Amino acid sequence: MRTYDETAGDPGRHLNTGLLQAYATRPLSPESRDLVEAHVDRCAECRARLSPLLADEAELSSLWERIDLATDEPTRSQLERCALRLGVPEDAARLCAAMPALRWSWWGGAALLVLLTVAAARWSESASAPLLFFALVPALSAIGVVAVTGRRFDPAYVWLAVSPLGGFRVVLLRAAAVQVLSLVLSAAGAVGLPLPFPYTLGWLVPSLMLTAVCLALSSRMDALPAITLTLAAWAGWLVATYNTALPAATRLLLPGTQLGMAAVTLLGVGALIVLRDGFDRRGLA
Amino acid sequence: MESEERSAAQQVGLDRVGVRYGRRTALREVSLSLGRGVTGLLGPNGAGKTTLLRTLATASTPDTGTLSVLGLDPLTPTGRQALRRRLGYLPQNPGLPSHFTAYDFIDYVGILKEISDRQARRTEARRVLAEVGLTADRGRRIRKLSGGMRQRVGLAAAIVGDPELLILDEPTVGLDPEQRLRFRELIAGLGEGRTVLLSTHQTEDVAALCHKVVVLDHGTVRFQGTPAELALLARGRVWSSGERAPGALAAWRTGVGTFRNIGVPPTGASLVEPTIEDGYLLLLDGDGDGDRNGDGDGDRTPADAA
Amino acid sequence: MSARAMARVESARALRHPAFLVAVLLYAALWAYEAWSEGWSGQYPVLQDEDRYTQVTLLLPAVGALIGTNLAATRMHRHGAQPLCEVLALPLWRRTLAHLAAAVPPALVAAVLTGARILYAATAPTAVGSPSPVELVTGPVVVLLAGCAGVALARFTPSATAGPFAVLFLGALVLSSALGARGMKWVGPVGVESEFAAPLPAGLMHRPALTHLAYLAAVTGVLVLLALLRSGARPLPARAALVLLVATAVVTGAVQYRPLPDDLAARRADAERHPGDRQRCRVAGQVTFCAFPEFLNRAEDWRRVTDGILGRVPAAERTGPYAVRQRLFLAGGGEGVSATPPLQAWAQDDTRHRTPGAVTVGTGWGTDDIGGGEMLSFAVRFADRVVSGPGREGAPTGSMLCRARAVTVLWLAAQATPETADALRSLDRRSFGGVTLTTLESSQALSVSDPEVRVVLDLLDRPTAEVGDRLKSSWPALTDDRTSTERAARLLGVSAPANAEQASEGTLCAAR
Repeated sequence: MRTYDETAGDPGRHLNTGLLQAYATRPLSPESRDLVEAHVDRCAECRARLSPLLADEAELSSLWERIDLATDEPTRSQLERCALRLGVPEDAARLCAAMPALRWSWWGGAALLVLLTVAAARWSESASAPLLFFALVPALSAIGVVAVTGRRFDPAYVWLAVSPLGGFRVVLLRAAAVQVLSLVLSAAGAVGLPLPFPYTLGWLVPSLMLTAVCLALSSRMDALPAITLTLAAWAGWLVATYNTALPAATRLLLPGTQLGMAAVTLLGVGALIVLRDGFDRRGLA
Repeated sequence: MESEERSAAQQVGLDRVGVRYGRRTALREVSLSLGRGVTGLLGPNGAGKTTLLRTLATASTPDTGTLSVLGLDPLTPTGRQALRRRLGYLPQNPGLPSHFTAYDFIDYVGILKEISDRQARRTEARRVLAEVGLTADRGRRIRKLSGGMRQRVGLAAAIVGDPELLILDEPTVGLDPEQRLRFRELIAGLGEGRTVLLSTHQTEDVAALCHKVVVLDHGTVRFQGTPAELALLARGRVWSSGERAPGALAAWRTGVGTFRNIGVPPTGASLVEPTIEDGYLLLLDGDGDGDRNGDGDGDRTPADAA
Repeated sequence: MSARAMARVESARALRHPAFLVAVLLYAALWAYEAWSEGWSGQYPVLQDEDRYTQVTLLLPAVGALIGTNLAATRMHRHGAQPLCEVLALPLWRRTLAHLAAAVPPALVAAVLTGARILYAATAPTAVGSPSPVELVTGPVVVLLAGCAGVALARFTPSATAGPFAVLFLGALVLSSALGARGMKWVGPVGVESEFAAPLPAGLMHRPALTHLAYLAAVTGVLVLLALLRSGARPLPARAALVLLVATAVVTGAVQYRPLPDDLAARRADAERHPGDRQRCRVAGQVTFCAFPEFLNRAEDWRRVTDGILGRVPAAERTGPYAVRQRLFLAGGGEGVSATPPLQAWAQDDTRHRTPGAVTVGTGWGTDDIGGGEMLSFAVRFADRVVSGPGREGAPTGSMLCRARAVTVLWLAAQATPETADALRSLDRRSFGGVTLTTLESSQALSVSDPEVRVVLDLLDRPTAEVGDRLKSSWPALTDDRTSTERAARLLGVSAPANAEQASEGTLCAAR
């Protein structure tokens, strides 16, 4: 610092460039700053030399700002970055990223399970082997959705409970994200099923139905009872409609049943909308 | 005193609010009126403090009674939503997602509080983190933060968005004395022009911060007034002696070797200036029969008084 | 001492754990559903096969035990009480030992369930055979192995997802065993046999059950020692024992795959070609039933079918005596070309044992798809023998029943018992263009084309006595295979199918 003081106080001499640059870009000590400013007040030439440096300052400060912003960029997971690139709005992506329950271990395990059921369907001699796929895939979809929307699985639930966004919107957002991912996984598995085309989509409507029913139930009760009831009803229905004479040994793939399940899905969605204040009101009870 | 309260605009009013969990009654016909400034909530564990704060924060709905918070009715959906835009809440043992960094979490809370502009959110996040002193640690993951730091993250999340009403449930748990001082400065600053309601077990916090104190016990309000008035309740009932006085309601050994006793002082005892803690203890054991929880048996021991 | 107390507490918790309880409930529900759908007398258990079915169903409690013990052993870590555990006086390896001891009660529960199940099967009136104790013990050992695996996993990782992934791994092993992947049959906990193979007498079965049990025990030991060594048990014998057990596991695992021993292969060939040498016979009325000793109880069920058929035949036409002999055909049922049964050898065997022209019956019998098919095939063969008279065995393979004779034979067979009628209906639903009834899944079969099947199904809806009377009154015309199907239908009182003649063009029936 002492070297800068040499030029001060001498009107014939001008400030050296280093000092001017330091003044323009770095915070100087108060004495140095006063000296420079005092000189620049008097000396037009130094003023002229200073002004372009200050112009650089704008670029530099924007550069600093960009660096600063980058260091404060929230750490985004791979999935979130993909979602952003697909055009999902940033706050929606962040709300989904805060889902605690579904990590890579869940998706890996679910993928493995789907793979096993598809293998069983393809290579087993029994004609009712595809039933395992059609039974498990909708159940996985419902379990995934309830794991991200359930209060007991989210340690940060209380912040949602007092947020003006409202519990319902966040629940819908997270449920939609997980449902889409589940459907993609199921579709990938269904490619390997040894059934003709219309039957390989037979899991789609049941998946949506179970998700809708489970969400509607969870607006009025805790996550575990809701999913238990849903899965118990699903298992009971599958057992009751087991019939070896039908494709995949179940009534599930018949067009009449699929239409019926679509109707139940719509009812479930309707119930969910009507009961949506349950997500706000029940809070932390 | 009461006219002063009434003339200051009432910010929070409860009228005979009751909350039950199954067969247990957490709040019994609580009626309160709070104005601007910092109010402290004292009470033993299980008194209903957390329930009261949760009800005010719209995290749960009361079974009976009416509420008016900042002029809004939290029992209606629109009122609830409007209220949530203007309040900040720090729960007891705040749950934080462990894989987030501190900054990420505050950013997330910013989204939850409807700050959709990215730049504004970033500025706000950095502001609140600076207020609680976590600027250097904002990039660390929450699971790697110490307990006190996590508490400060929760505090920062509560003050995002500059809320008019701040509800803090045991905010100084886990903070060391220096951090607690800093917290008091922060709250005192916030208390000017805002309504702050905080519950605590530290009577020094109450003494230092609060304009008003409310004592809850078994779901009912036992006292509403200034801290000085609470201390005054014990005037003439606190004395010091060389050994544990036999007729005292509560007695404990102080650091300097003497005993501090609360109760009916014997003649000639050396009285001492009462503190808030003395008033609080006396209030909770006010009828003098040593029966603190009203179940009919004397359960007073020196340990009970602590 | 405190380890023992801890073992007691953990055992109680393991039995109460929701994962194990749900698994046992599901097991019970599955059992109840099977029992309800088949009925008490509707099942025909072969006990040497039932004993290994118990292993497959016990996989459910095994999964429950695995998850339960895993969650118990990781409990302290998952709930953040790990620092407390680090300063306990009881060392970690003793605690691990207590957790391992807690894997035993679920295995005991599994043993009780197995015992109950095999008892249930054995007390059915139609049970035959005898179970193997080694196979019965394997199921509970699998549950024990699963419990120990849960604890061992917990010592490697405290994550709660390890349990479900281990379950998926077990499921993959069982699935690859079931699908018949090369070399994978005995690596997993249960060696799954094909459900479609016919039951064999116990002396001819080749299942390395004892070796597999030793393999499972060795693997359990390896898991136990791994768990203990990971939790800090240091003694040298433990490591040496680990190496020894790993070697044992590898050796027994390899030995499981040894091929069929020569003497067993010889005995099987002998039993296939000369079954009479090993069989005992029972006479009931006009029919002599010969079977392998453990299957002799089936003679009652066979008798119901033969009585049902013979009852509709006019007395004059019952040219007895008839014989029924149980036979094996081991090359049947596989993929690819069906093999030819040793008809010459069977005819010689029959002559030697004084049962000329004995009708073949297999070891399978039941009310499900496979068993019903066996029932119906036997009934059709017996009815064919009755209608055609002696001298039919040794006829060329792949014969077809034509026109009126087809209707008569098939109707006689299908009406013999309600179960054979159900079997025909079920077979018809699954077949296209008529039905084919093979002899023990070999290339020899009797086929009936579609129009005749339609007529018989219509006849089954009419009162049996009425049709029986019509049959008896027009017996000669109805048992001649030159009589057309339409005439047969009219004689028996149902409407004739429209396309009977066209359907038989181009088949063997047109040649006659």
